[in-house]
Amino acid sequence: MKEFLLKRLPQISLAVLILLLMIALASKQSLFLQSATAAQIFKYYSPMAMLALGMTFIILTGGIDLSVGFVMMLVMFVMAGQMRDHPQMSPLLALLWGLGAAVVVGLINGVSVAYARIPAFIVTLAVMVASYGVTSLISKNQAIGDLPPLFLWLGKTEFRFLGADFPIMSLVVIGTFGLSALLLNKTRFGRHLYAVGSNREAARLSGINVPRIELAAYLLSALCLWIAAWMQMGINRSADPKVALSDNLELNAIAIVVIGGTSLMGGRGGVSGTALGALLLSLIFYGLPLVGIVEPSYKKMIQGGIIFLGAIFDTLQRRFNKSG
Amino acid sequence: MGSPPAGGVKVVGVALTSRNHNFFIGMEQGITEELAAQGYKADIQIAEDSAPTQQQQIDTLARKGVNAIIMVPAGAKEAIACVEIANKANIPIFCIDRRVTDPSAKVASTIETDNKAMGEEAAKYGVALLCKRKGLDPNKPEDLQKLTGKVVHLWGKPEASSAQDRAEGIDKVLKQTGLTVLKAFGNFSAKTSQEEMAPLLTANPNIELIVCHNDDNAIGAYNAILDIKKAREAANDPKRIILIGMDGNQPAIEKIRAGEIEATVSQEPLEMGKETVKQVKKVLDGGQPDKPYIPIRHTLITQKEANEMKGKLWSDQLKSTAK
Repeated sequence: MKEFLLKRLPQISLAVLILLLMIALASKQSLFLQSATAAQIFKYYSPMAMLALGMTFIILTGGIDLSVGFVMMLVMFVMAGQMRDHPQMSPLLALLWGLGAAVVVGLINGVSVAYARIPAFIVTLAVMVASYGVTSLISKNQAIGDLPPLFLWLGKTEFRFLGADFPIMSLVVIGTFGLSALLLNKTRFGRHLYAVGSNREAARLSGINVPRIELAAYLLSALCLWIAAWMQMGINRSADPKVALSDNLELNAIAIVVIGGTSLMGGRGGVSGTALGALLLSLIFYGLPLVGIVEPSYKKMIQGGIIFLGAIFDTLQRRFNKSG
Repeated sequence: MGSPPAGGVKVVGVALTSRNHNFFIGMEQGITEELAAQGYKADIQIAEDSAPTQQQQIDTLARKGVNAIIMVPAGAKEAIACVEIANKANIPIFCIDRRVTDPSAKVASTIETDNKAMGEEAAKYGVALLCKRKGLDPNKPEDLQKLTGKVVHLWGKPEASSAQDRAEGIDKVLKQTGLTVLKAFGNFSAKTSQEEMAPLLTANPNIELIVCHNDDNAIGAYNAILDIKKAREAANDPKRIILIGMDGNQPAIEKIRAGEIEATVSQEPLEMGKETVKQVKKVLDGGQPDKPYIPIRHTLITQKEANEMKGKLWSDQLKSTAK
């Protein structure tokens, strides 16, 4: 029992933090306790959760992906750009173009990291900048509106639940997080992913195809960011060429994973922590304006602070594991 | 020093800060079109919003020996160094959009929009619509004081000088009313504005007016209104939130034509570009610019103007955007 609690310490402390935050928000604004709050948090922050989910796989292998935000924007514009330039095209085909683009970028990141052994930090930084270049080329710095219903469907469709209009994105997020938890905890692939993250050399010696596992992590993340891109267009009713510029999407994703207790060194953590991390960050982002705190400086300080806090937790826990 | 280009064609260096906003794209189009019309050659440089890059580019233009330089400063303070380079090389330099005020830096002429006046005009129009709704006279100070309710002042980037100037104008107008002003920050981004406005609209269901620092903010606020209220009320419905933007961007103009957004205060980037070239010509012909500071008009665009001036608005005339 004691061991279980110790192992779960980051998640437990995070859950307590979330509870305290919820009490604080609710005491300042009674509206907070309505189910519509949950619905709106899913509405605006589902893409952020999807990016964080993809990032979880990558960080579990000991990698990092700084490009997710800009690649998400690129994928949006590959899809919306197809519709703009070829209005006769089937929207489904355009969506698949986006998936193709996501996979291609995932392959570039994954192959460079897993097979060419280039540091993930520098590969994904390069891909981040290059994707922005390609996005501006497609977008010509202009938002693309008049999107077909299929493009808006994922981000806009709602269902009635507990007296509020929940976006179907909530089901997608819960479903993909659930499936990912199963994948990580109940399959051979999951065990191998943890093994690679814990000790690459030991994993290789035990017969695991290490590069293939690493590449798979980047491809899973590509799938997540494609879903996030599809969601984001529906939420904003357009493809917006500033989506990745105004918010640090990649930083949010990393912050969520790290505060969720997944080790930056890989091999430890998981999806449940990421879910809690996403809840914490979206509660802060949605909750602060709800209680009347709107200064953007606080948002930046919180983003930085959370990553810092997560990194400290991570280091402490590694020390503890070593000595204990 | 390079020699002047052969053939007697004069070259004008154009140092732009970026192409990441239609406002700058429009400005570039105005400059290049007028340069071509006057028979000048353009040497265009883009600084990607980096002041150090811009300084290098101005240095290169000076070494190439261009006849004049038009600069949209990437940073107001750093631009002093750029102007000094041009001064030293004896090349007349013209600024657009941002003033360079330093005794050691001599700018031939600065062409600018009055962002403070734009903010005032946007807020005034919003307040006038609210007054009309409540049977008050916006020209009477006592009626303005009687105007109560909640208004959102939706900021762009707090560190941008355009946002600060627009805010000053908006605040000046709103202070004269009895309205309660809520601040929000949309970062000049539709996504951020939508995410910030949704909880604000939930917490304050009685908001009646939103004045935005630019049209991206207005589009985001519009999306948040749709999210929270599910539909936009008819124009004369007293429950409808009045929404005012600034800049005159295409997506906002289309929403204004459709009656979804009340108005925008449009800048005139094409005209700014053209006017600058006219001043350049005066100097290159051996004369003097008209004035050290030349303000360019801004225009309130409501549904009426958006329809009547269709094809004549700057956003309708942009060539390099995909539409």
